Amino acid sequence: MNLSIHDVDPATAERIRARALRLLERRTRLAARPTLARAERLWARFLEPALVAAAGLVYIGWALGRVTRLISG
Amino acid sequence: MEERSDAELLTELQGGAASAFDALYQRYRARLFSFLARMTGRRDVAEELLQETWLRLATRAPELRPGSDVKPWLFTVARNLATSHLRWRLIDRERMSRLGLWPGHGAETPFDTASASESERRLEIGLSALPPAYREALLLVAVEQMEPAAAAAVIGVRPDAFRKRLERARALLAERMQEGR
Repeated sequence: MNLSIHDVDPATAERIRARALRLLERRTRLAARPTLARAERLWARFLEPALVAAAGLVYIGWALGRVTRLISG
Repeated sequence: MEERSDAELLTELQGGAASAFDALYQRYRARLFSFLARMTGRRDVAEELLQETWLRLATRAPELRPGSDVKPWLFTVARNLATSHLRWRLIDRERMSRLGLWPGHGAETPFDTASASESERRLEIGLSALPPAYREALLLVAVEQMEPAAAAAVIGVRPDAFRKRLERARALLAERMQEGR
């Protein structure tokens, strides 16, 4: 099947490459420092989601309290 | 200079070599982009998914078995991303055909710009009209020249089921191209 191969424009290609290389460099740096890598994983997998969920719950509690106070006059 | 194999490049990449990433990027970027553009029917989406594919290689390369083949891995990631995209967003085919897949030649339709010849133009139209499951089978085998067993692994089906799918895809494409005459 003869179909042409098309490429992204050079600016997009360079943007994607630069982002991927930044990630690669970060990953390599972390691999060289296992303690930092563990801390990073702990933050990304547990601490950050827990903080976001807690902030969300606090906001919802605050909003419900405000609505209740408004309704009850 | 002798060209390094994918397996060698993967080993270097696992050690963090940017030059290995560049070599793989150079080798497969356009092929992956063409595959994604034909799977999704949209250039902007294909660019986004292409970026995600390469970011995954950059972050997950160490998890790959040393010496494993990078090409099927890249196409599996790209294919899964395209499938997720298609699952969540049903694209209006008529609108899709009016949008430009390939930029820049001032022709009337995206297919005109994409096609170097009348037969290629008919092929592009026929392919875009196929259901994604058949389209991906044809693209992997006929365009990417993958062995049916490797393409079956990319898609995640048994080789005999893939062979049937491929046969059906070829028959459907032939029908679509006949209709387009």
